[in-house]
Amino acid sequence: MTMSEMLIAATGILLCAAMLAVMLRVQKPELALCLSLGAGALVLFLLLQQLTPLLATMRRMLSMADFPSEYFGVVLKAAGVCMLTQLTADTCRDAGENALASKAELVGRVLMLVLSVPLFEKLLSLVVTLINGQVMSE
Amino acid sequence: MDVDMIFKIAAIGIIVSVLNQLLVRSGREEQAMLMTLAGLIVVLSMVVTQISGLFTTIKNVFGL
Repeated sequence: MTMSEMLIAATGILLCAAMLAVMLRVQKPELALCLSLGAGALVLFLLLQQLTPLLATMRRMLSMADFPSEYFGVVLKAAGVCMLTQLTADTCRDAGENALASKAELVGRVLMLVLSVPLFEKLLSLVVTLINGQVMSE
Repeated sequence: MDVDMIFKIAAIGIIVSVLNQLLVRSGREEQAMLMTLAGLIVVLSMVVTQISGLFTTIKNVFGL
Protein backbone atom coordinates (compact mmCIF):
# COMPACT_ATOMS: atom_id res chain seq x y z
CA MET A 1 0.00 0.00 0.00
CA THR A 2 1.49 3.33 -1.02
CA MET A 3 1.36 6.49 1.06
CA SER A 4 -1.51 8.12 -0.83
CA GLU A 5 -3.54 4.90 -0.72
CA MET A 6 -2.96 4.76 3.02
CA LEU A 7 -4.12 8.36 3.40
CA ILE A 8 -7.26 7.75 1.37
CA ALA A 9 -8.00 4.51 3.22
CA ALA A 10 -7.60 6.16 6.62
CA THR A 11 -9.76 9.12 5.63
CA GLY A 12 -12.50 6.85 4.27
CA ILE A 13 -12.48 4.52 7.25
CA LEU A 14 -12.52 7.34 9.78
CA LEU A 15 -15.25 9.38 8.07
CA CYS A 16 -17.47 6.32 7.55
CA ALA A 17 -16.94 5.25 11.16
CA ALA A 18 -17.71 8.77 12.42
CA MET A 19 -20.96 8.94 10.46
CA LEU A 20 -22.06 5.46 11.54
CA ALA A 21 -21.14 6.23 15.14
CA VAL A 22 -23.17 9.44 15.13
CA MET A 23 -26.09 7.48 13.67
CA LEU A 24 -25.79 4.75 16.33
CA ARG A 25 -25.20 7.08 19.27
CA VAL A 26 -28.87 8.13 19.44
CA GLN A 27 -30.14 4.57 19.89
CA LYS A 28 -27.19 2.60 21.29
CA PRO A 29 -24.31 4.66 22.71
CA GLU A 30 -22.38 1.55 23.81
CA LEU A 31 -22.32 0.12 20.28
CA ALA A 32 -21.21 3.51 18.93
CA LEU A 33 -18.30 3.41 21.37
CA CYS A 34 -17.37 -0.12 20.22
CA LEU A 35 -17.50 1.05 16.62
CA SER A 36 -15.23 4.02 17.19
CA LEU A 37 -12.81 1.84 19.14
CA GLY A 38 -12.74 -0.75 16.36
CA ALA A 39 -12.20 1.90 13.68
CA GLY A 40 -9.41 3.45 15.73
CA ALA A 41 -7.72 0.07 16.13
CA LEU A 42 -8.04 -0.60 12.41
CA VAL A 43 -6.49 2.72 11.41
CA LEU A 44 -3.67 2.36 13.93
CA PHE A 45 -3.00 -1.12 12.56
CA LEU A 46 -2.74 0.26 9.02
CA LEU A 47 -0.44 3.02 10.29
CA LEU A 48 1.83 0.54 12.05
CA GLN A 49 2.12 -1.48 8.86
CA GLN A 50 3.43 1.67 7.18
CA LEU A 51 5.69 2.44 10.12
CA THR A 52 7.62 -0.86 10.12
CA PRO A 53 9.90 -0.18 7.08
CA LEU A 54 10.48 3.38 8.30
CA LEU A 55 11.67 2.11 11.66
CA ALA A 56 14.00 -0.40 9.99
CA THR A 57 15.50 2.46 7.94
CA MET A 58 15.95 4.60 11.05
CA ARG A 59 17.67 1.74 12.86
CA ARG A 60 20.03 1.28 9.90
CA MET A 61 20.83 5.00 9.82
CA LEU A 62 21.50 5.04 13.56
CA SER A 63 23.75 1.99 13.31
CA MET A 64 25.73 3.80 10.60
CA ALA A 65 26.25 6.66 13.06
CA ASP A 66 27.45 4.23 15.80
CA PHE A 67 24.60 5.33 18.02
CA PRO A 68 23.85 2.81 20.79
CA SER A 69 20.64 1.05 19.79
CA GLU A 70 19.28 0.77 23.35
CA TYR A 71 18.54 4.52 23.41
CA PHE A 72 16.48 4.24 20.25
CA GLY A 73 14.68 1.28 21.81
CA VAL A 74 13.71 3.43 24.78
CA VAL A 75 12.33 6.11 22.45
CA LEU A 76 10.35 3.51 20.53
CA LYS A 77 8.93 2.01 23.71
CA ALA A 78 7.91 5.48 24.86
CA ALA A 79 6.14 6.04 21.54
CA GLY A 80 4.26 2.74 21.95
CA VAL A 81 3.23 3.62 25.51
CA CYS A 82 2.01 7.03 24.29
CA MET A 83 -0.04 5.44 21.51
CA LEU A 84 -1.77 2.91 23.75
CA THR A 85 -2.37 5.44 26.52
CA GLN A 86 -3.84 7.96 24.11
CA LEU A 87 -6.13 5.33 22.58
CA THR A 88 -7.37 4.26 26.02
CA ALA A 89 -7.80 7.78 27.35
CA ASP A 90 -9.64 8.99 24.25
CA THR A 91 -11.99 5.99 24.33
CA CYS A 92 -12.72 6.55 28.01
CA ARG A 93 -13.35 10.25 27.37
CA ASP A 94 -15.69 9.41 24.49
CA ALA A 95 -17.62 7.17 26.84
CA GLY A 96 -17.98 10.14 29.19
CA GLU A 97 -15.63 8.68 31.82
CA ASN A 98 -13.24 11.55 32.39
CA ALA A 99 -11.95 10.07 35.65
CA LEU A 100 -10.94 6.82 33.97
CA ALA A 101 -9.33 8.77 31.12
CA SER A 102 -7.14 10.70 33.52
CA LYS A 103 -6.22 7.44 35.27
CA ALA A 104 -5.11 6.03 31.91
CA GLU A 105 -3.00 9.14 31.33
CA LEU A 106 -1.49 8.78 34.79
CA VAL A 107 -0.55 5.18 34.01
CA GLY A 108 1.12 6.36 30.81
CA ARG A 109 3.09 9.06 32.62
CA VAL A 110 4.31 6.71 35.31
CA LEU A 111 5.34 4.09 32.74
CA MET A 112 7.18 6.77 30.79
CA LEU A 113 9.04 7.75 33.95
CA VAL A 114 9.93 4.10 34.58
CA LEU A 115 11.25 3.86 31.02
CA SER A 116 13.29 7.04 31.16
CA VAL A 117 14.75 6.87 34.67
CA PRO A 118 17.66 4.55 33.66
CA LEU A 119 18.62 6.98 30.88
CA PHE A 120 18.44 9.92 33.27
CA GLU A 121 20.61 8.02 35.73
CA LYS A 122 23.23 7.45 33.02
CA LEU A 123 23.18 11.14 32.13
CA LEU A 124 23.54 12.10 35.78
CA SER A 125 26.46 9.72 36.30
CA LEU A 126 28.13 11.20 33.21
CA VAL A 127 27.66 14.69 34.66
CA VAL A 128 29.10 13.57 38.00
CA THR A 129 32.12 12.03 36.23
CA LEU A 130 32.71 15.25 34.29
CA ILE A 131 32.47 17.44 37.40
CA ASN A 132 34.80 15.18 39.41
CA GLY A 133 37.30 15.11 36.57
CA GLN A 134 37.33 18.91 36.43
CA VAL A 135 37.77 19.18 40.20
CA MET A 136 40.68 16.74 40.16
CA SER A 137 42.44 18.52 37.31
CA GLU A 138 42.35 21.86 39.11
CA MET B 1 -8.03 -6.47 10.01
CA ASP B 2 -10.80 -5.53 7.64
CA VAL B 3 -12.89 -2.47 6.87
CA ASP B 4 -15.94 -4.75 6.68
CA MET B 5 -15.83 -5.00 10.45
CA ILE B 6 -16.91 -1.36 10.85
CA PHE B 7 -19.90 -1.86 8.58
CA LYS B 8 -20.72 -5.11 10.37
CA ILE B 9 -20.75 -3.32 13.73
CA ALA B 10 -22.93 -0.53 12.35
CA ALA B 11 -25.35 -3.06 10.81
CA ILE B 12 -25.56 -5.00 14.06
CA GLY B 13 -26.25 -1.73 15.89
CA ILE B 14 -29.06 -0.73 13.52
CA ILE B 15 -30.66 -4.19 13.57
CA VAL B 16 -30.44 -4.39 17.35
CA SER B 17 -31.97 -0.96 17.83
CA VAL B 18 -34.84 -1.69 15.42
CA LEU B 19 -35.59 -5.05 17.05
CA ASN B 20 -35.27 -3.38 20.44
CA GLN B 21 -37.91 -0.81 19.51
CA LEU B 22 -40.18 -3.56 18.13
CA LEU B 23 -39.88 -5.62 21.31
CA VAL B 24 -40.41 -2.60 23.55
CA ARG B 25 -43.51 -1.53 21.60
CA SER B 26 -44.95 -5.03 21.86
CA GLY B 27 -44.45 -4.94 25.61
CA ARG B 28 -41.55 -7.42 25.98
CA GLU B 29 -39.09 -5.33 27.92
CA GLU B 30 -37.02 -8.26 29.21
CA GLN B 31 -36.48 -9.71 25.76
CA ALA B 32 -35.55 -6.26 24.49
CA MET B 33 -32.89 -6.00 27.18
CA LEU B 34 -31.56 -9.46 26.33
CA MET B 35 -31.44 -8.46 22.67
CA THR B 36 -29.36 -5.39 23.55
CA LEU B 37 -27.06 -7.52 25.66
CA ALA B 38 -26.61 -10.11 22.90
CA GLY B 39 -25.78 -7.40 20.36
CA LEU B 40 -23.29 -5.84 22.72
CA ILE B 41 -21.58 -9.18 23.37
CA VAL B 42 -21.29 -9.99 19.66
CA VAL B 43 -19.84 -6.55 18.87
CA LEU B 44 -17.50 -6.67 21.85
CA SER B 45 -16.13 -10.05 20.80
CA MET B 46 -15.39 -8.63 17.34
CA VAL B 47 -13.73 -5.51 18.74
CA VAL B 48 -11.69 -7.49 21.27
CA THR B 49 -10.14 -9.56 18.46
CA GLN B 50 -9.19 -6.34 16.66
CA ILE B 51 -7.73 -4.79 19.79
CA SER B 52 -5.68 -7.89 20.58
CA GLY B 53 -4.31 -7.78 17.02
CA LEU B 54 -3.43 -4.12 17.50
CA PHE B 55 -1.69 -4.87 20.81
CA THR B 56 0.37 -7.66 19.25
CA THR B 57 1.40 -5.37 16.40
CA ILE B 58 2.33 -2.55 18.78
CA LYS B 59 4.36 -5.01 20.86
CA ASN B 60 6.22 -6.23 17.79
CA VAL B 61 6.82 -2.79 16.24
CA PHE B 62 7.84 -0.87 19.34
CA GLY B 63 9.52 -3.76 21.15
CA LEU B 64 7.51 -3.31 24.34
